[in-house]
Amino acid sequence: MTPYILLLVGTEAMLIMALLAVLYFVRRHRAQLKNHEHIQQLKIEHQESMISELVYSTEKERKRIAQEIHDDVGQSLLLLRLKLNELHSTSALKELVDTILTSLRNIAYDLYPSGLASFGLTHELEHLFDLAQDRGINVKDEYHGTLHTNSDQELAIYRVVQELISNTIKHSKAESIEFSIESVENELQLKYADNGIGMDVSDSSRGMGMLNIESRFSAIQAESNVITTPGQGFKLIARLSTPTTAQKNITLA
Amino acid sequence: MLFELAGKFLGLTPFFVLFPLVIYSLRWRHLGLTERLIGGYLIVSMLAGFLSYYLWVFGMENLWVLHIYLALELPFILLAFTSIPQMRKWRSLAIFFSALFTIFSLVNSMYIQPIDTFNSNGKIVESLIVSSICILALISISSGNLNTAITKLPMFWISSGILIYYSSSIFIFGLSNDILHRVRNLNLIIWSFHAMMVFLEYVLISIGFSKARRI
Repeated sequence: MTPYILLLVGTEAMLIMALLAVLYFVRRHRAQLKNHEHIQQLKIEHQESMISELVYSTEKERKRIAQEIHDDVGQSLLLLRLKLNELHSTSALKELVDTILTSLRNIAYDLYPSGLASFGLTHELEHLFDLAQDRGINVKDEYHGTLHTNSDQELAIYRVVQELISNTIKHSKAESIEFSIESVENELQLKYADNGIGMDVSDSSRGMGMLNIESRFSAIQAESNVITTPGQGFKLIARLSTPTTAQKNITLA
Repeated sequence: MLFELAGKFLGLTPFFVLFPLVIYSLRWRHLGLTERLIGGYLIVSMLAGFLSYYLWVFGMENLWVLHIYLALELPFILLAFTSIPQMRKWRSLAIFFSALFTIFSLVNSMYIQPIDTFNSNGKIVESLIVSSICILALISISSGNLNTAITKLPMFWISSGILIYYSSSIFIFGLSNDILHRVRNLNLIIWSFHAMMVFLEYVLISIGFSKARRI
């Protein structure tokens, strides 16, 4: 009987071993996938923190330069303007100083929108859209709910809208912009659309602007989605969690 | 009753291969090179199976078909497995083994196990080589694809099917000439078990073909 037992046991044993081997590879691969996903997640988190740090330091530097321009160069020019008044200088010289002062104010404001802290995000966005309207674009902007955003989020949203308007004016040949910002509980939804020529997402010339927008959103952990194809206009929808009033107070403190 | 059923089941064995071949032809456009070569192996199996069955039905000697089939089967399998991107480094070794195995099969058929006997020696060696290459393939597949679940990869199912069939058949092939023909009923049970393993192999290969998605 021994050869028969050997045949039966051997065959069964080999079958079981083969099945166990397959099972082992499935479990091994699952563990590897999990580990790989964990590493990828860590890489993304690291990248996001780098972007956030970069955006933060850039803004800090821009704010410092804007303040220098405003407080130092701007004040000196104002003083010069007063002196010119006292000396009864020619109006051409005074006009030149006024032009330089206006330019400096604009540069300082572009560098850092100091009005965000004083007048709030809605006011500053309206100001940006007014500039777009001055360029002949029809704007329909809507603001719903009370915005509970912190200063980082406000600055990021401002920069994104600034970039979007700049793209619309420079590249899209659009006639109108529709914008809305809605705050519901602890979530904020932002929609921006123009009726221009749209864009090819792979176009590198507009890629930098979009990269800038992505970086800004990434720094404030916002989710964004761009819907555009050449000839079909441009649309961006973004969502982000806003802090509760208590959290906002802590951030500001 | 049980033995009658086993006998009928055995009679159906040559037709099992049609199942993966139907899936193969339906999924042809989505199949990669490796899966297409596996299809080639199945076609060779089908031709050998049908010829063997035809000869058996008309009471003629059919074991010589197995001798020829054996010399073709292993090179096909090795060629298919070494076309997996992570397995290409083994191709030279696979060609060497294929040539060596063909020579071994010829020597075995001419001097050790004549063509009117079951070529168990060749089948054992082939089973060992194929089981090893399947294990190697599973290692390579599981290490080289970290973006997709292994169960979504066609070659995982195909390798598993081939591994289960060949490893579980080693003892059947090894002892078939010595003991199986002595007791008819045991012979029937063991070959029915073998047929079940063939069926399982083809089901898993069919699942593999159905998972293929051309990028």
